Amino acid sequence: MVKSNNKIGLEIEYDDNLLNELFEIALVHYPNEIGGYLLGKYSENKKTAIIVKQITALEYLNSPVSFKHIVNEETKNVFVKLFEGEGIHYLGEWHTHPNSNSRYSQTDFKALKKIAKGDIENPILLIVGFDKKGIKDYSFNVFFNKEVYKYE
Amino acid sequence: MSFNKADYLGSVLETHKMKHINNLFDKFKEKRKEIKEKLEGKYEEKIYAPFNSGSYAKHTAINSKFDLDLAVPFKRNSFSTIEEMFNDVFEFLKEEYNDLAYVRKQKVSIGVEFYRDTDGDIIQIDVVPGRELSKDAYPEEYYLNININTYDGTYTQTNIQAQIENIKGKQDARQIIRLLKIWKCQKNKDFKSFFMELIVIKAFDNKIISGNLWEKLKIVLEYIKDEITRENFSLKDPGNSSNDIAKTLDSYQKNSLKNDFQNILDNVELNEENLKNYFKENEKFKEVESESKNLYRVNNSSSVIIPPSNQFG
Repeated sequence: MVKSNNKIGLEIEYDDNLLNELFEIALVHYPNEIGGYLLGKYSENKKTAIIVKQITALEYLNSPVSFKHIVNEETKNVFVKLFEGEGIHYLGEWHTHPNSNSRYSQTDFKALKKIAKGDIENPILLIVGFDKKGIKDYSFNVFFNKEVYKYE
Repeated sequence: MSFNKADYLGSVLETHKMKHINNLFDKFKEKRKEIKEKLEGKYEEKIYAPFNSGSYAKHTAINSKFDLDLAVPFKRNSFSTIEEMFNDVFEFLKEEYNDLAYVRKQKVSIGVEFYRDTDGDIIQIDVVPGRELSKDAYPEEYYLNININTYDGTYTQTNIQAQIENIKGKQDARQIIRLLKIWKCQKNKDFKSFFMELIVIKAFDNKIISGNLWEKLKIVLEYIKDEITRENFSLKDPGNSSNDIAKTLDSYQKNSLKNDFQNILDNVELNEENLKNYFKENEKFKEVESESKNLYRVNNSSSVIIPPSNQFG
């Protein structure tokens, strides 16, 4: 699946199974939020972010309305291994909103801003709004020029 | 592809956003900070904390024409008259920026216009000194007396905080205010931005304004053209209810504004693309929005990327 934002001219590409996988993880942690990292690579022309896989956070604190991950040594080692072995790297984040929609919060915005000060300037944020019956809606967003844009 | 008025107006707003001039704007903020610190150093306990006012504080700024404002609330006992306060601040800034800027008295503010810098930019900061009405009243009420720079030393009461509050949360109204400021700037119209701001807010208070951006603008233009020349039409200053901002326009100016807006409505009705004659995109930044030069940016692609620990909501 490819989604894009015409205003900024960037795209993302991902496998439909990604959302099924995330829903299964979301149910395990229900009614709390859960999240993790999106990994993959950028296309040659740097216009498309290709999401290859996700990693659920290894260390975290969560509640029905919040999710905090801690990037510990074990997590860092996973990133190193995937980079060296499969050539894929961190592209952004995902997390769930149990019993809610997929709109990003102010906390999410601040988190993206923090990430953008590091090695990648345009982190992707996938939010999955769901309940026990299934995914209600989801949104892929990207932080670009200090604003958040949604992929359609 | 057919012309979409709402999309076009969206692009007009987008290309006039302040984000396109971040570097220049940082220079403005730096200068304002510098002036603020100088004033705090000079007047110490005579003033309360200076604060940002004007269009940027109200989120109605446009990138084609703007300045930054700094309001300086003086304590009641600082000066015996409002005019003395105004002149003292003027003399101080003039002395401080003698070789660096052109400092001049304006109607209610002191303009500090820095000489063109090496990038060719001119930075202008307007300083608005005001004195609280009675001792210790400012932190409670935020009312200030500000000087009106005329030969007879008059002053007026205002409440800049109330003016900023008045527009808070009014996202839809702010979009229309910005569009009308763009029109005013492009057509060199002589109306005060504050007048535009109040009349748009009044339109939103009195009409049901919904739909897309063009539909909203159209309702506001119709409201203004229908109401502006009515005898009893008034615009109360949220900072001072006895100030009628509608009176800042004489009847010729009101009729002229009515005709201008009637012309816009008629000509757009005739041909939608005529909208472009009244609201132009900022060409300098148009390309940035439509171009496909944007890329995902990576600062270090040769080594592994480790994200920071983070909190989400």
